[in-house]
Amino acid sequence: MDDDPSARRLARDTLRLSGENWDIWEADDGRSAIDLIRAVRPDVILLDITMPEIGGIPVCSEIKADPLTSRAQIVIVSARTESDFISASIEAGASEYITKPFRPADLLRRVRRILHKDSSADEDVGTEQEVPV
Amino acid sequence: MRPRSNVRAMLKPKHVPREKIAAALRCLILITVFTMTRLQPEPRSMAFDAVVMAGAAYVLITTFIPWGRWDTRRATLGLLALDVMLITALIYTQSGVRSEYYLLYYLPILNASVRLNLRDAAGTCALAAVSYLFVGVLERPEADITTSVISRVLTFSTSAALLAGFFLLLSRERRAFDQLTRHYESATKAKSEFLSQVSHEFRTPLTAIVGFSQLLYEHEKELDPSRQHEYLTVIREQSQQLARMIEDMLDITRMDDNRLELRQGAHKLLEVVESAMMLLDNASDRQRVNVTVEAGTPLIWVDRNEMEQVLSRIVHSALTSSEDGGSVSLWGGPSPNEKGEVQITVRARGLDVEEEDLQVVFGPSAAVLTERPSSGRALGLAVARALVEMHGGRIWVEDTDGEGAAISLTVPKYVPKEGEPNIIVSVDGSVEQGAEAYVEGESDDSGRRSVRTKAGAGHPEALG
Repeated sequence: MDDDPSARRLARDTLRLSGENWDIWEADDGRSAIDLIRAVRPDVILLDITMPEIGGIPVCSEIKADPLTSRAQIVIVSARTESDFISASIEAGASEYITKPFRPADLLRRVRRILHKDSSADEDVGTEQEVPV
Repeated sequence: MRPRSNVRAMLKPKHVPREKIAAALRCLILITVFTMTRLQPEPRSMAFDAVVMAGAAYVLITTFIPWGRWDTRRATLGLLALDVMLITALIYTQSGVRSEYYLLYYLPILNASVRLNLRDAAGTCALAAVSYLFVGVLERPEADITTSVISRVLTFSTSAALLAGFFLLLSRERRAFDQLTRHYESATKAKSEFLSQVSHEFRTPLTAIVGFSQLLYEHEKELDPSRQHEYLTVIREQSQQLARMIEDMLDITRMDDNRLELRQGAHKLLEVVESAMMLLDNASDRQRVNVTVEAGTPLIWVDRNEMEQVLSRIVHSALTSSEDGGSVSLWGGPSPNEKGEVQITVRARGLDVEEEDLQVVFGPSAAVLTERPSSGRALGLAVARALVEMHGGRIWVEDTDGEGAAISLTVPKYVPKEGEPNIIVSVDGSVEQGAEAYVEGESDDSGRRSVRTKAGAGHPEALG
């Protein structure tokens, strides 16, 4: 989830170019992200923090609070570098925090690490949420 | 940020000492009282013991209770009054008016003076004088005693007044310093918040630039040419965006420091608009702008470079809100208001009065330029607004009945000064017929921008 189309595109292409066969969905705001996550139950969710209306941290808390979706691993990808945001994200249940700008290889590495840690995950389903814009 | 906190720590007024002095004075009272208890020949009076106990409890309480939560001014006067009462009780129960213990009255008076509060100092002094007189009259109603008590009261009142005056003079300096410090702190805070916001904004285009260039670099073989071209386009657009934001930030900094000086001159509106359009990053953007300048528009009195920046920022912002390729129209002409200004209005279907960027810059709460620009676009508009206001013009946004919104601004027209020949030489050296000169442009049927000068009195056609 990111309201900036080029950031979404970057994350999507990074995952696609990794050579693994991930299913990817996108959302451009918090409300549709939550709906989408409930519908597709992704393994990994990439969230931006600074969004109009519902930002990444409330989305993160909501996903973690819902037993249906709490299994998803959450990666916050944000331009905010302040420690307040980082600790708030961790408290909300995020597994990783990546600051923008990031190197695509880093994003990939962290997503892979999370998926391998999560042994119960279907190996070939990755993700991100979203409604085609 | 380490440097900032250092400066802050250095400038932070030290509030602690005053409280500590107050506490120390109270402790001094306590110690004096106890010393006198020791010196007291047996048997001690019950009243004296009671006074000592009350004094001890009172000193402990006032020393250790957190002051900050109370209305300290009121509480302070109350506590000082208690000090005075304690001393009076001590004199009355123990030593009598003839003793030198009346000097203890200096402690609370000094205490109030050190707190830099004239009201407290005067109040304490008056209370001390009244209670001392009262004790004197109560104890020995004879006239000679009363006279000596009165003279003592006069002595300590006068010296206390001098003392208070001295501290009051100090306090003025202190207050000015405090005010300056507060001002500095809030300015520093605003600036650092602004910087943190801006650095956050910088990261957005930087993310795309870093990310896509990395993808291009690492996956060059796998990416087909059209994909590569797409990535390059994103990188190019975002780097232009980044450059614009840096420019805006430098402008804001210059304005903040008052280093930006306008060099106003008389210019043709159309020329300024034309040059402004050249500042747009892409030729395709230029194609989307319809420019119309009314015939008879007076020359405008502006800093040409800055006004070009203003117009290109506004047009760019209107273009970005119309991502679907919708066109943007720019109209310039005499302002309908009676001040004889020139008005420029940029309309776009995609603009919305309610959108956050516009609200931040033009909304009711948009008082301070450097407050929370929500995006690079808002930053650009904020700079535009500040520049227009520096020119003495107005800038506002309004709804246009379902046709999106319009950003309008006014700029001063050129008014020839008394006695000055009505002919001016423009920057390019061509001679013009003063305020009578005008130019005109219009859009053709295809919606593409087309501009032509209407050569008035045969002056040269000079288009940017």
